[in-house]
Amino acid sequence: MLCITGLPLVFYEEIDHFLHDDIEATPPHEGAPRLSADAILSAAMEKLPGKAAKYAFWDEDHHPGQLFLTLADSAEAPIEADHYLTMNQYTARVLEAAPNEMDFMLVMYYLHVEMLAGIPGKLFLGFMGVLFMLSMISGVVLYGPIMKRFDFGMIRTEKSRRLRWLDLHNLLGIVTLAWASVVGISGVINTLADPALEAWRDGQLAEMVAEYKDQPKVTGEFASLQAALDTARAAAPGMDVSFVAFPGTLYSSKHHYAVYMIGNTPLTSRIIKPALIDAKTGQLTDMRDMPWYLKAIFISQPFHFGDYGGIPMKILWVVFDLLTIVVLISGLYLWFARRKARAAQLKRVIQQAESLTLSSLQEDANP
Amino acid sequence: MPTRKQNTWLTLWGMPLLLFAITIAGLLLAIIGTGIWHGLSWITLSVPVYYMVKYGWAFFTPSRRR
Repeated sequence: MLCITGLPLVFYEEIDHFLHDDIEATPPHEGAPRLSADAILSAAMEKLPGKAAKYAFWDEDHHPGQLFLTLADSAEAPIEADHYLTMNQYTARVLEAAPNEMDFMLVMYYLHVEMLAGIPGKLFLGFMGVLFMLSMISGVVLYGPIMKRFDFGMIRTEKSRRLRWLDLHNLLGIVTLAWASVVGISGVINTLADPALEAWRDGQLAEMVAEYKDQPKVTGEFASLQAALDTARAAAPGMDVSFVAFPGTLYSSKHHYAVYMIGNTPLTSRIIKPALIDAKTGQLTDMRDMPWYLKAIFISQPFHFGDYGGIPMKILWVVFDLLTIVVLISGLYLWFARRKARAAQLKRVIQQAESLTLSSLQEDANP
Repeated sequence: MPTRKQNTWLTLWGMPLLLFAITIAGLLLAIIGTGIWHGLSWITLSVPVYYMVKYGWAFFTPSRRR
């Protein structure tokens, strides 16, 4: 199930592009400057009056000139009631107001990460991932004794159908082992994202904003978002802004803009560093590296999705995925076939034993 | 019939270990950087796929019962 729902997800970006019209943020004239984040945000708030901002995202590599905003009735509102706006950074116009509904890819995604069953579903799949790892270990343990007398890669075609499948299972299983282990382990690590985030919120984040602990949630006019971005950039030179979580959301405190900075190389872009900016005064409260367990989750993500090496790598990912499906199905077939073979063998042994007793009886009778 | 030979540890596990190491190297190469690193990663990851096709091909050949 995971292998099959994961298959289209490898090409998430490409399929998403195909299913939806491409939108582009074009500047009104050559060299036009980008507007400040505050102007874009207030334009979005005018478009959806009475809403509060939750998150702001940028994706300079794939969607230059675009600012993605998430708005809802309040910062604490659940994700189901979110509104998504794509803003043009040059004109502060709304490029797209995507409906908050599940399309094919999102259904695949949620089936894959939580079987549409929330955090319990996610942890259950993590447990399945652990079983997947154990089944691979048992396969490797069996590989030794079976292949003891044979060359690597041999497939016995002249014997039974079962042996032909067994040899294919062994070949594909042992060669895909490294890939399947990496995807399996990183997948299991990913299922722990929710408890890890919670631990971080209660631990490091609470520590960083300890002095605000007894204050009520920040209200009224917030400090400038653009100034907060500039402050965070100055505090983390050489890093880019990935997203901003507004006060009250899951990713911030009740008093801060949490500006999440990322590095700008393939490896460091997975290292996320939040800068907490007081949403009232605009001052930097604290900026720290995230704890090791969140770093582990962020670093493991590309190794699960295979989205870090261009299209050829995605194709290789699909090939390995399909071959892993063959290993899983042949493993299942062999398990059934072996039970049948064992029953047949037992029958043969009993028959042999009967005929042996019979002949020895005859021998005894006619010496 | 296969001969009643006994593989040494290295003949048994040599290829599996080698392909394991090659796959891991291929997965890591692409995260180091783009451009040449991606190319190297694609070539490296193609090696295990090549071996699966090379040996797995026999599965589809008709049986030669003697």
